[in-house]
Amino acid sequence: MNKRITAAVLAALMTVLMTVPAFAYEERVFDDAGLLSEDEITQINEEIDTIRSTYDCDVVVVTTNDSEGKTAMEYADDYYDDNGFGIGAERDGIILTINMDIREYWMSTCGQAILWFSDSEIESMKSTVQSYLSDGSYGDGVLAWLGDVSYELEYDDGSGYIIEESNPFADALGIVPMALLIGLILAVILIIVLIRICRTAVTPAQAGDYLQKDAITIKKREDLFLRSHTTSVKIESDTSSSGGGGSSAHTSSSGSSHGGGGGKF
Amino acid sequence: MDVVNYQCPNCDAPLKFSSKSQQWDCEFCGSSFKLEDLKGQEAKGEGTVTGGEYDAAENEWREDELKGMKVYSCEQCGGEIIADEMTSASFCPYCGNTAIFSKQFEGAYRPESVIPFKMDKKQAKEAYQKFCKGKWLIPRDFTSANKIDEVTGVYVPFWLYDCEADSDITFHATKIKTWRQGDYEYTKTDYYAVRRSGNMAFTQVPADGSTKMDDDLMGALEPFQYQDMTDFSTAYLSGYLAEKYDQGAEDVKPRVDTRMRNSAVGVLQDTVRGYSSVNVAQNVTNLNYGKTRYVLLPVWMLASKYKDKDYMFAMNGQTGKMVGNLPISVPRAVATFFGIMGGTALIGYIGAVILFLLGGM
Repeated sequence: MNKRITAAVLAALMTVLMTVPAFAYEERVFDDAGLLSEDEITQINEEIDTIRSTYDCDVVVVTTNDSEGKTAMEYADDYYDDNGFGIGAERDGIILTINMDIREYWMSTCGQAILWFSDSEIESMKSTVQSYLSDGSYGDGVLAWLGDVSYELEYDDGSGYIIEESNPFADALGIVPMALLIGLILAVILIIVLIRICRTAVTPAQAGDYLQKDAITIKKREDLFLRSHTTSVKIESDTSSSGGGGSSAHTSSSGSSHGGGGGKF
Repeated sequence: MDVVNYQCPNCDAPLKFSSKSQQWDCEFCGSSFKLEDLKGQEAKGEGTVTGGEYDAAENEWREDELKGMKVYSCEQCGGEIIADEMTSASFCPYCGNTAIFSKQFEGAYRPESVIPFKMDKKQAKEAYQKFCKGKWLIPRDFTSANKIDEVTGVYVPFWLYDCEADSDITFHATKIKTWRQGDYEYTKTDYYAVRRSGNMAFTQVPADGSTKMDDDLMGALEPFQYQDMTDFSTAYLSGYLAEKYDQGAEDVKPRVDTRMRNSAVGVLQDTVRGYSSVNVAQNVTNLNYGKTRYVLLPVWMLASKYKDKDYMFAMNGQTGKMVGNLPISVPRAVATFFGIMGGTALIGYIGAVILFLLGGM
């Protein structure tokens, strides 16, 4: 071994170390509000890179002081759509925006990622993020969020589904058969009553009008217990599981579908 | 094997012969009986009916009364109407036919009592107008164009029966209790045979003695207030028509029997308390009829024609109670039916939309 070889190997290694990150790190952290330190940005970028290559899910982190008059959700959706983020035809990915001017944050999912992160998972991710952001620990918050993202991707069972956006007019149709049935019963009762009003030529079935109330004698009262019979039925308890794997989605200004959630901090 | 219907000596339920045990089993109370236990059991029917024959001897027409009476007979329906000399009938009150002829009054018992008319013709017409109002299913043109063709005051022959009922009724009753224990819901049903026997008296139960008068129409006119009943005199007939009974006291009694038996069940069942369900297993009611009276009761008959169909209405000439079957418009009934059904569905739908909209906000 001589120094030349060592130098060449080192140079090659340097090249790899220098170029690979430069090649792999497409820029995914946009700290416009300057909330993150250099170290944190590097750490976040590394983490995002791992997630991207492992799960084919794009991850973007944005901080801003100017929400351009949009809500946090609109800002996140548009930022993701306008910059063409996402992996694959459906632009799978998730974006976290921290909007300092309105003190809101939002995580927006797109493509298959809408299914990967269900509503309940988004809720739990929100509670993780929110506590850090409220304390001003933005870097730690983003890193914790990335931890959640990789966790959810790792343990996704592919059973996600889109919760159809509710349409009151369509949903209310479900009540029509029941309402018709009630209407039928009401109509039958009312028609019978109305017909009986018109048909009053009916002989009384009893002769109670002519009973001498003071001439009734009860001679014998006998209540004989015969037997008893007991039956039992097992009560079926409801075993409906909680923790729905459904995700609700909305359409952004660019026309693409997004899921996700967020809140104030 | 002879089919002999025995009843359980414990609870009166019908017994079934079991070929296996060669015994008679009661499915209701679970007891079993041998033939010798059951022998001598009388077959129990519905009960007996005694008495009630009409004694006409005390009610004979007087010569002068008969002289002042005429009978009109209808050529079309054969109905016969009695009127006094001063009252002339121009049409038949049963069928509206004007071809009636008068003949000599003959036969038939003299009524014992009469309740005089209290309501006049004008009141009958007014009552009819009111009667037709507010009844949704009547065809509109029936109320608007409808005119009452004939309004006739008729004394209708009624038989009034006094009767004592001696009832022995067995009920099958249950007490049901439900409770939860652990994962199970328990339902305990206790079976009882409940027996009640008692006496009761009915006075002056009426039944009309005319085949021409619709039984349901006459029955619906009840009750008449008997305190206004007075001894019969031909003077009451003036201005009204009267009818000769053509069904005797024995002919219409079964109608009264049934009503009294039903009442007897009601009276005794009232004393069966504290059960979840009570059903009549056996009703043995012996009816012992007492005095039977032949009376005339005042009825306004109103005849109307609608679309070639005759409609008869009757008003109690004493109390003003109006009864009868009005025509029903089928299109109106159908429209109402589907209107209600559709309306309910629409209200339900709109209500649900509003709920979803409020819930979705």
